Amino acid sequence: MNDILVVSNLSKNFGKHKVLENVSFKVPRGKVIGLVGPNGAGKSTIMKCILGIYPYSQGDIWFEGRKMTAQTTGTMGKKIGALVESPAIYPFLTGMKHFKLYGIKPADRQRVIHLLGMENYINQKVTQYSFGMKQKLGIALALVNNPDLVILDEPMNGLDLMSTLAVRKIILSQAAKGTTFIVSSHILSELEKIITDVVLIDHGKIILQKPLQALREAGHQCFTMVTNRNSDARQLLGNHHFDVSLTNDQLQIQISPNQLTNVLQILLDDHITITNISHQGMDLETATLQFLKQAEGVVNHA
Amino acid sequence: MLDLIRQEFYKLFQKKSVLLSPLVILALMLFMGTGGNLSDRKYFFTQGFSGFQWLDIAIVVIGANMMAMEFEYGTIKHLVASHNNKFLIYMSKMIVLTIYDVIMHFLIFIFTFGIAILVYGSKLPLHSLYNGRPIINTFITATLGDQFGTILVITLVFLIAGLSRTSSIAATGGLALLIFGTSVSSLIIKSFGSAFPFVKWNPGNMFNVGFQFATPGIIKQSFLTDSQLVIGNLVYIVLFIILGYIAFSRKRI
Repeated sequence: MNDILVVSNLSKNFGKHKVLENVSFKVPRGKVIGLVGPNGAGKSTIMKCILGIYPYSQGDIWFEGRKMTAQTTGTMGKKIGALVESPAIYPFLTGMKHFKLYGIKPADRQRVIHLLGMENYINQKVTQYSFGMKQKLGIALALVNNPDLVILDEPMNGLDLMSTLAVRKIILSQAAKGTTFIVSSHILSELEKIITDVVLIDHGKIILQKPLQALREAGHQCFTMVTNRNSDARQLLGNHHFDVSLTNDQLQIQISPNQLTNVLQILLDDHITITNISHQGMDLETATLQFLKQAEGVVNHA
Repeated sequence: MLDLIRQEFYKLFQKKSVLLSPLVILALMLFMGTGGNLSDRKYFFTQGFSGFQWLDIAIVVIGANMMAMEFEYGTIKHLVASHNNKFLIYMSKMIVLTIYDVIMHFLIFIFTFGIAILVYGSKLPLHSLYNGRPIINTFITATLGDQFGTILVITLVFLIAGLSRTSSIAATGGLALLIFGTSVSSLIIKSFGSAFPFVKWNPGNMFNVGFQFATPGIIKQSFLTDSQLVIGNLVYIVLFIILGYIAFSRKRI
């Protein structure tokens, strides 16, 4: 079973308002899926449907090859950890008592407390916690049972730099051990550092699902290069019909990665020395904007 | 279900207000027991020195908070995601509050004897007559009757909590019905009872059950026999559980 989760033709209405429309996507085991989209796109609703918090009017959700129903979600729920919208914490309990409430074994709670660096305040009541501390407790509770699938809705919200780094490190290390993640975040630059695949959603519809690498390569790309003879290099590549410009002593060459060897060969044959080269791929933010605009265009033209 | 019940007990007994409520009720019972004249004291003895009335108020507040807090704190998402059975979540809370209610009735039963010893010394008037019945009989009847009556209170509070946005609204609504329920019921029966006899089956009248067991004269106010009140209570308990669950399950998470 390669896909840990399969969402098929999921539709959800709130009254007459259609929130999700035929949403389908697959979550390969061990991947970190970034659920990306504007506010109100339906990200949290998808997460709540997967977790069984919301019923849905149409479609199926399959977890580890088993269809999720009211009867099966309870047992499968133990294999899924989640932080949706806000941490599920009681203000009259300490952080430690939350672990005791959910029957977490001492060894497991100590491991996750240590991982997230919560030792100094874990025995304080959560009313004394900052927003970021509460968020960390919520993440700790989602991770503590070593679930197969972890769903994190805006996990970086309110976290300081060190905590953000810690959460990133934990997600990456857990993913390396085989845990699958579905993560939504508005901080796309941060999300880009942890995810392997992107699911882009807008107006309750899936716009695309791609591996992050393929998404980067799908859009406008160029290589930036510095040589010992930039003007000659531009002339030479221009003669070979490459789209080249020279700005700020840097060559901008509009090519795909599989054309790079050819370009380098041409320059080296002419004894031009390359002193620096970098790939300017499309980042997640640019890609998201581009695909959302495209989708908007399709909607407008329809 | 057992895991949910364990979690509910854990949450319940982590609240200072819940832990302190027996002491507060004891203090209020002491106040009632040591004040008033001898005749009043006999009456108060049969009524657990008003401990049961204070417990009803505590049950309303604790029950309202127990249900509404999950929505206020957003913890209901975790509960549903972990167990995915709102009925079990609903019933586990009701079971835990009922067990707490039983424990508290037992404590009040013990406290009553303690206060009675304090008031009367070693000569407890257990077999003295009050309203034609030995005090001990009336007191045991009042204890069991109130225990039965508070089950209706619990189901009603959970229904109100399912319909309310916050625990304070739920608690206020529950207390209002608890305090004014029997008076309003009595007014309705007096006003419309002769024309519409079925109004004596209104839910407010059902709160008389425990009181009528211990004080048979209440039948002149309730217009229902003891067994009719028991049946009425059972019907409303089932109805409130169903309506409360529907309200709870439809509440936006």
